[in-house]
Amino acid sequence: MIELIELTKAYGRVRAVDGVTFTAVPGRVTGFLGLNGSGKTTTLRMLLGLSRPTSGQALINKVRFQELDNPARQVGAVLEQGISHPGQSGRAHLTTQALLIGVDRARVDVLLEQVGLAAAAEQRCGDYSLGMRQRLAVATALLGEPQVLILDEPANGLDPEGIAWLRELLRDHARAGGTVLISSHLLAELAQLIDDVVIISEGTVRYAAPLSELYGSASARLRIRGRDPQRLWRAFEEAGATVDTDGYALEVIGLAPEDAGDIAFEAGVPLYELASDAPNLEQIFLNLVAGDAPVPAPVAAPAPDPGSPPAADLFPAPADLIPIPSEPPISAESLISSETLASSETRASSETRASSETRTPSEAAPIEADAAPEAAVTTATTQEGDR
Amino acid sequence: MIAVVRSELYRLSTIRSSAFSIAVFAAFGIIFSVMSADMWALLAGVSAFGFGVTGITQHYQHRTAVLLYLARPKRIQVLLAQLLTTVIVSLGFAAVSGVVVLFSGDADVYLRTLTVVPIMGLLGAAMAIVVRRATPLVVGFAVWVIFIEAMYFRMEQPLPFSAYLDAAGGNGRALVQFLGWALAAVVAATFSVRRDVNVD
Repeated sequence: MIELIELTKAYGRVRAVDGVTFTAVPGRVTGFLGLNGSGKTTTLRMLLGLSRPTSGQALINKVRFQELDNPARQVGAVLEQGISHPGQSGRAHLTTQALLIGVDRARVDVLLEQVGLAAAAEQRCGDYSLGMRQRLAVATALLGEPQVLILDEPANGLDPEGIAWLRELLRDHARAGGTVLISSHLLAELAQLIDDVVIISEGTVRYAAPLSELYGSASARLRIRGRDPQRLWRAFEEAGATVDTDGYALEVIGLAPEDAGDIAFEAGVPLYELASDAPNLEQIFLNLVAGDAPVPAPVAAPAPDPGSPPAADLFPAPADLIPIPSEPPISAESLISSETLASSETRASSETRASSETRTPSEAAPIEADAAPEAAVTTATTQEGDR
Repeated sequence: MIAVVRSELYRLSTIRSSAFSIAVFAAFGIIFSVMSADMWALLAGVSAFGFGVTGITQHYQHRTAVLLYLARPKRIQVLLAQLLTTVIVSLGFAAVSGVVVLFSGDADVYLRTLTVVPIMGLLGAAMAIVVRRATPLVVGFAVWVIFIEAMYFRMEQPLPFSAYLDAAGGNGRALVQFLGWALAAVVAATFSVRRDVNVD
């Protein structure tokens, strides 16, 4: 377990890190997010004993890093873009580290195989690509088979295959009961991996809670198209929803998809499309770090519920989402004109789109109340494309 | 501490530039020892200083000091292990490269050099912990020796390099003075080693 308690680092009058408090618990992956220069790396450096805090505490398994007994056996860290001497081979680098922490040298070859560097083991680290250096850094972190993994922007330089590999590795580590703390300046990069999120901005924690709560804090938006948009608009507004349009479909906030379907059914308006847009995570993140949005959960909540399901189990990977073909937008004015309605009907009837299947109340499957908004996606479409 | 020493020695032997440098200096040492025992002694001292400096500053230049302190966060122990490594390398280098001196009738020079060379290595390594960068340290030390010790004090004051030369010449008092300089640098290093490690 990782605990940061009022951790502060000041350089003169500048507080690079100011009272940072959060917890990363075993069995979960905690994302530590912030823009460049927000204090992520400084915080991790203090956590790892590389720099001294001005005040506060950073604890791993209840003690300071410096007080850990053989820390490499308990904590593995990936910092920067993979640290190694450019004149050493990958195997020599790992052997040096194995000797340093007292690990059997036989583990070096096992790890080289595991991270996909067996073929490049004798190559100089200076000739490694950025992605290879990151893989070597991960191997270095795993040498001591630590329970706690701390990674600072580990995805930098990794190709999509490498990112998928790293994601699986970290998820497996968490599933096995390990603690994972991973930093990034891109929420979307971690959205498929992390269970808990800590957002830092200008040295202070702006948000700390399970990721599902961050999703839940964002208003789910429904995208609805039907035969009579005016009547639908009125019906939704009478039901208390906020309605807008992008010129082609209605954008409805404040209704569950089931309720929207029921309302349309009762209003006697056939639906051509009913989809729930995923919240724009990147926008939520940017709002939080910019301080433009109200903080949707208690700041620095120290202990995310270890029992809540991992976010990665709730949210599908992009490959699981069905892409929606792009369609030409039309103006709001034309949306309500009879000519456009006719053309819309014609187009809708002539196209076969997975995303435009009308979901009637009788067809709607019940959705568990505690599921995240994405679980309610009826047509598996996203408009934001941020996942 | 032994684990750090083993790791450091392995690292030195597997970094191609380091291994190459040691081999080249050893070759020059052997050549110098054939030409003159004093030249060999001077080279051995300068080399020991260089080994001490580069052994430490490479860790900061390539940021592997981060890995070192992540694995062994008790930095004083790491410092002592690194100093011991420097002593081993310096002593080994001098012992091997000066074999000709030993068997050519200058055994006293050989033994005196083996006494002062590890101290020179300690001085270089300890100063490297303080400065952390090789070029400013080597250039600064060279400027100090040339302009301060040689030109200004004419190598007559008990300053580090003057004391080293005198100690290598068999002056017992100079040996103590030189050891004092090295220990002063080690004390400074014990404070300096606790500084933050910059990973940016």
